[in-house]
Amino acid sequence: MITEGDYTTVHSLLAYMMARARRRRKCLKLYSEDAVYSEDDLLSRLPDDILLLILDRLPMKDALGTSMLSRSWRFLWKSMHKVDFTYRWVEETGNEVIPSVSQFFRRCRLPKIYCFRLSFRYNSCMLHRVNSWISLALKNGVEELDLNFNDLEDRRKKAMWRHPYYHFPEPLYSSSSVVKLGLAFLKLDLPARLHLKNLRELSLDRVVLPDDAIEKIATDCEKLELLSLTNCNMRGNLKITIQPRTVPIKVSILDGFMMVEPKTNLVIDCPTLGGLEFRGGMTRSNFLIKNVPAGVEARFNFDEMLYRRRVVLVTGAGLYGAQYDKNLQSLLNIFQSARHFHFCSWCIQILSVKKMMKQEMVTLGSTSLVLDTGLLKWELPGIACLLTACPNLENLAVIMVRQAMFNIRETFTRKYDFEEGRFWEIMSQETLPCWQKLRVLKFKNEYGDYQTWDEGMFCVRRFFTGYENSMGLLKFVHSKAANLERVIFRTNTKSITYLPSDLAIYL
Amino acid sequence: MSSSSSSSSPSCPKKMITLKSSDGETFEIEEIAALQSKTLESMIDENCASTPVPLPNITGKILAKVVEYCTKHAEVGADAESLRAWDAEFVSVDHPTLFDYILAANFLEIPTLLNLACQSVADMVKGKTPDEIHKIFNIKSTFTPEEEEELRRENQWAFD
Repeated sequence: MITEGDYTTVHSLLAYMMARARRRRKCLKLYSEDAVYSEDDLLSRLPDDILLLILDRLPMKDALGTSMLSRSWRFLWKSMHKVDFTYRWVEETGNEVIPSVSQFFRRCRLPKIYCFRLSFRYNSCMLHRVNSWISLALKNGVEELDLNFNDLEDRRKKAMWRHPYYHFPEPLYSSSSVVKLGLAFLKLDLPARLHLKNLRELSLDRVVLPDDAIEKIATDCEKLELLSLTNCNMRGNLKITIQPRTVPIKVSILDGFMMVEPKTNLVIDCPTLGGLEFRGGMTRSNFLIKNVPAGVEARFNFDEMLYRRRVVLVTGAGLYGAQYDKNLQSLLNIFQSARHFHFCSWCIQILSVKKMMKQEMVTLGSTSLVLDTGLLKWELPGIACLLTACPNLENLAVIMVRQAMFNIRETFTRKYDFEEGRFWEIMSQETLPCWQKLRVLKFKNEYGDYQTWDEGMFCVRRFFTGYENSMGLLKFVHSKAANLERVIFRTNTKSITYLPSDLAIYL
Repeated sequence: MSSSSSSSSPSCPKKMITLKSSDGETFEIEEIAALQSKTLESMIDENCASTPVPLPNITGKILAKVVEYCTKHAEVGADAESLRAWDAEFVSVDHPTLFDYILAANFLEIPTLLNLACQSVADMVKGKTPDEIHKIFNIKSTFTPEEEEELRRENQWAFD
């Protein structure tokens, strides 16, 4: 029975909720007071501000196309919060970006713009218009801004590329709304005072940076936490000097193998580095990295290198492509105290060669190790080498990737041959129990056929199909890591966790 | 066979909140899961959440699912990949249910669920012609022939 006291509480609670709903954006249908909806049409009845949430998640052409659905949809697009005119627009509509954007801004209602993305082939006469749109977006509180001065159709030879100078329009010097900024294909010309106080992510693609540019940006933008550099300073050294700061920065570098001039250096000096990721190629001659703090994340995903087969050659005399050996060694020395390591298959293969040739491996302090590997025969020594180099491991993940090997000649394989099927067994005999802290072992299979299974019907052997050496690795770790708590098997769609004791029947 | 790893047991009893749907059903949700909803979060802060919270806009059927979503997303140690797979299954429902999720997430201000459900609808619209979209969502085109002609001219800049 509801007493008067209850009623008052319930009533005030209701009033509170309703007042909240009213204080937020009003849920009305702006253009469709006289709209007629078919009975089953639940979508069109949703409040406009919700339909806009859906439009914002559509490619530009589809979003604009909703105007043709029915009367209530006709002018909705004019209030979109995301303005994205990039390669996709040109591909899908066949229309040039700049005239389309002109038309768009002439017709839209200029609401708050959360995201503004533009890519077009640079032409100096377009710049003042582009800057006026950027200023407009900034005035309307844009949070994500992406500007690319090139188009996908650029078939000019790389040597013919001319990066235009880009002078930031004044409102961009001190925007407090921009959180993500992306710039591509330009020469960065920074103003004296740059103060993007809420900037968290900066992505630069084929940008030419003066030496002190990164230092300046990192100092002026205190909240910057992610810096992504793709093919920057292709013809000269890339210098990343960052003064100590409160927020650690993660840096991600992609130097394309055919893009960046090999006779250049990478220079990094960042005492508050949060992490460093390499993607693409190990293209530059030297990695001059200093003042790396302890406990960073180091990801060495030189994924392009396995597809450049002439780059590394291994014969009975050793590894040709000595700079890669030297650079990888130097990276391992510099990042000895990293907390987390992620190695690609190419790095593992280089370490295999070094291990077979009995070269020294530095000890790593990492507690977390991720290996991308095809688990091929000549990757096994490299895997063993990395495992032995990490005595403090707590988490180990093996990601089973597409298999590819670099160029190993018979003169090497004959000289250093070993029995693949017995590799882990022999390792087991040679290795003392270690990895006292290893708790979690994870295997991930993204590419295999065995992606899902019925409850209770998981089969480890089927999971490892194509990567047969995994079984030996599982046995090896299982036998040496006394405090292992769980083993996880994961595909793209499913995952299953085992206690080590339950796995004993397989091993 | 298999068993999942055990998480450490709570050292204090979990604080629960009661929600009441439009059709009178009540649902209990852990406070930590309720914090996914900005609306419920401010109510917890302002101490209004001690009695059952009435949600006159949300039916029991939908509220049960929303509670399930919030509880799942509040789990500690849930890793990103399996969560994504779970999310994909969560939104594999019929359109009326999906739209109800959107309205509920909007009312309760649950940004992750709102994003998930809206993206799901957007994915259904992507790449389709107006006719196809009409069929999928039962939308009736209410344009007169004159309006259609006007519309074609209006949109020429984008769709010539």
